[in-house]
Amino acid sequence: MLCFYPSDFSPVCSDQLSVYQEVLPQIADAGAELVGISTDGSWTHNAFRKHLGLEMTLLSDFHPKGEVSRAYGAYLQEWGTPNRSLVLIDEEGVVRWVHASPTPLEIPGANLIFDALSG
Amino acid sequence: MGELTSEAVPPIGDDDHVVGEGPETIAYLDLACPHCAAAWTRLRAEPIRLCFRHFPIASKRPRSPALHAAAEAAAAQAEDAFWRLVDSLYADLGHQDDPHLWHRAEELGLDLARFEADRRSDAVVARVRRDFESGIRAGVAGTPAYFGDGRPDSAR
Repeated sequence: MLCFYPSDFSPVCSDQLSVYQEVLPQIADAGAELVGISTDGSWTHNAFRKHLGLEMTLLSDFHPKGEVSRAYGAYLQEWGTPNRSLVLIDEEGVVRWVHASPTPLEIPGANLIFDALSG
Repeated sequence: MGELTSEAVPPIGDDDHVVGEGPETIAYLDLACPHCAAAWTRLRAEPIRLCFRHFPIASKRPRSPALHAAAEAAAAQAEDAFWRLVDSLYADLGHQDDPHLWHRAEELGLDLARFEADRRSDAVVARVRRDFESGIRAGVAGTPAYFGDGRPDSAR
């Protein structure tokens, strides 16, 4: 489960990834791995992970900036960051489910992750 | 699997923490959350039937699980102690460590040995987790989060 989010350390992203952290064991039990991705650099990611005690991998879409986010249709040109989006990719690399928040300020509940994994 | 899939917020039950009279509000709260603390005084003063549900976000606020367990341990001795402890915690987020919890328990007239045992018990952990998971299933993604008439109440 790829989790695109706008920015390390922002209040909304901190809430989102903190809540997802609380259900990481259940995501693993469902046979999935949650991986965060934003346009922040790896050093910022490391600091963010330590700050919140996050155990999930955070990928850096830093250079070329937003290239991966664009490939998934998850880049917000006006923000210069990814939108808040969830993408479920199966073992063959096929995208099975996508959720894009109506605005980056809206956090997809973790329930949507479990709905997608059970669907 | 499926235990954390989407489900409507559970209606208020007999073993929920409920106070006041009026329209029902179910609040998912984190006892270490400053936004919840800011909302708490207003919530307590409103003419509502307030249901408190635990939503500790441990990675963001590492003391949250201990505070929620303490509140449940207080409730095991007296429901009024639950509310007084919550009031006390939200009134002073700067004192959250174990000695501060012992001091609060003593001030509430609780049996300290029982409080200590209860707040570390599996039953208390499960009770807090039950609320947390019901919030996850209802789409709670941060605190405070409110529900009225079974629906999210984002206007509060």
